[in-house]
Amino acid sequence: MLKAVKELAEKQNIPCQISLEEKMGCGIGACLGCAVKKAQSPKEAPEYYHVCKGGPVFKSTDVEI
Amino acid sequence: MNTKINLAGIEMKNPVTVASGTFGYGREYSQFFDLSKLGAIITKGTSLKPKNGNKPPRVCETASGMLNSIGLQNPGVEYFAQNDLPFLRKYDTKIIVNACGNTIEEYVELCKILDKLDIDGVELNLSCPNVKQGCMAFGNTYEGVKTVTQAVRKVLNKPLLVKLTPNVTNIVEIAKAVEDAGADGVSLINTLLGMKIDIQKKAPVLANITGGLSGPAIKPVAVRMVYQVAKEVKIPILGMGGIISGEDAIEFMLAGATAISIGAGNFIDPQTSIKTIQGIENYMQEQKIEDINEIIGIV
Repeated sequence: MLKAVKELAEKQNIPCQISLEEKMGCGIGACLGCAVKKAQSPKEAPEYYHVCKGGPVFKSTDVEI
Repeated sequence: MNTKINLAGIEMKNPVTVASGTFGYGREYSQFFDLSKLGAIITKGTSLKPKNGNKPPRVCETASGMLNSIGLQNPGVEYFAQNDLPFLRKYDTKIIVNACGNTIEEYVELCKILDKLDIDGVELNLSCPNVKQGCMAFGNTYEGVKTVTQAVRKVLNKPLLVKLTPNVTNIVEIAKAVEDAGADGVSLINTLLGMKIDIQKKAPVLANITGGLSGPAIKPVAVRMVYQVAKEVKIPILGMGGIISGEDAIEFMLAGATAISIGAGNFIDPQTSIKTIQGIENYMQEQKIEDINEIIGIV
C-alpha cells in the first residue's frame, strides 16, 4: 500500500511522507538490521537508511521500497 | 572479591564484554548505562574500506533466537579512528576492534593501521557467514585460519584474538590453528548458519536467503565448543553465544572461558551486560568465591 501511495503522490507531485516498518534487532541504531534503501543510490553499491533511527517516517522521495 | 581477569594480555575489570555487531561503537548504548562498567567493548566488524551491507530484510526472529544477515555494514577503519575511537576512549574500559576483510592482503593492511591506533586489542573476524568473500571462507579450514592469523601476527603487536565460526566439523582443530599461528586468544562462537522460510510468500525471509543464528537457542552449542577447545588449547577463550544472565556467563567460565561476550542479549534489554556483571558478583557471593579466576575451566 505504501508503495502505491508513494507512486501516486510522486506522479501527482504531492508532498508525501510514509511511515515504514522493518524488522528490528536493537531498535536504537546499533545493529543496523532495519535497513531501507536510499532513493537514487547506486545499484551496484546501494546505500541504506535505518528505520529505527533515520525514520520511521521518511519523505517518500528519499527511499526506495 | 576480585572480578579482574586477564584476557590474552588485556587486563579487564570484569569478564563481561559486548559482542561485535550487537553494540555498534557504543554510542547508542551509552544512553542506557555507563560504558565504563564493562570489562571491554568489542566494536562492530570494521573493514579497511566502508561497507554498505546486505539488502533488507536483514533480521528475523526465531525460537529463542534470531537470524541476521547485516553483511558487515561499517564506516571503515579511517572513519572509526577519527570519529568513534575518540568517543569510546572517554570511557574507562578496554577497546577491542573486530577486524574483517575479503582477502589476506586486506586483513594485513587493516591490522597495520589498527596496530598504530590507541586500542587494546584486535579480534580477527574469520567467521562472518553473511559475506561472499573472506571471513568464514578462511575460517572453516585449519590452513585458512593459520595462514591469515600468521600474516596478521607479523604486523600486529597488540593482543590478537581470533573469532571462529561454529560451522565446522571439528572446532578443536580450527582453534589449534589459531594457537599454532601465534595468536593470544580465541573467541568462540560466531553465529550458526540458518534459514527461515515465509510460508505465505513461499520464499526465504532474509534477502540474503541464509543468515547467522544467535541468542539463547545456540547457548548449549557454544558451551560445548568452549569446553572442547579449553581442554585442548592453552590460549585463553572469550566465550559467547546466547548469554543473557550471570548464570549463563558462569556456565561459560566453568566450561573454560576467561571472559564472555553478550551479543543478541543486548537486543532483549540494552542493560543485559551490566545485569550480567551483577549476576556474576551475586553468584560469587553465594558460592563464597573470592576470585573469579578460580572457576575458569574447572568443569
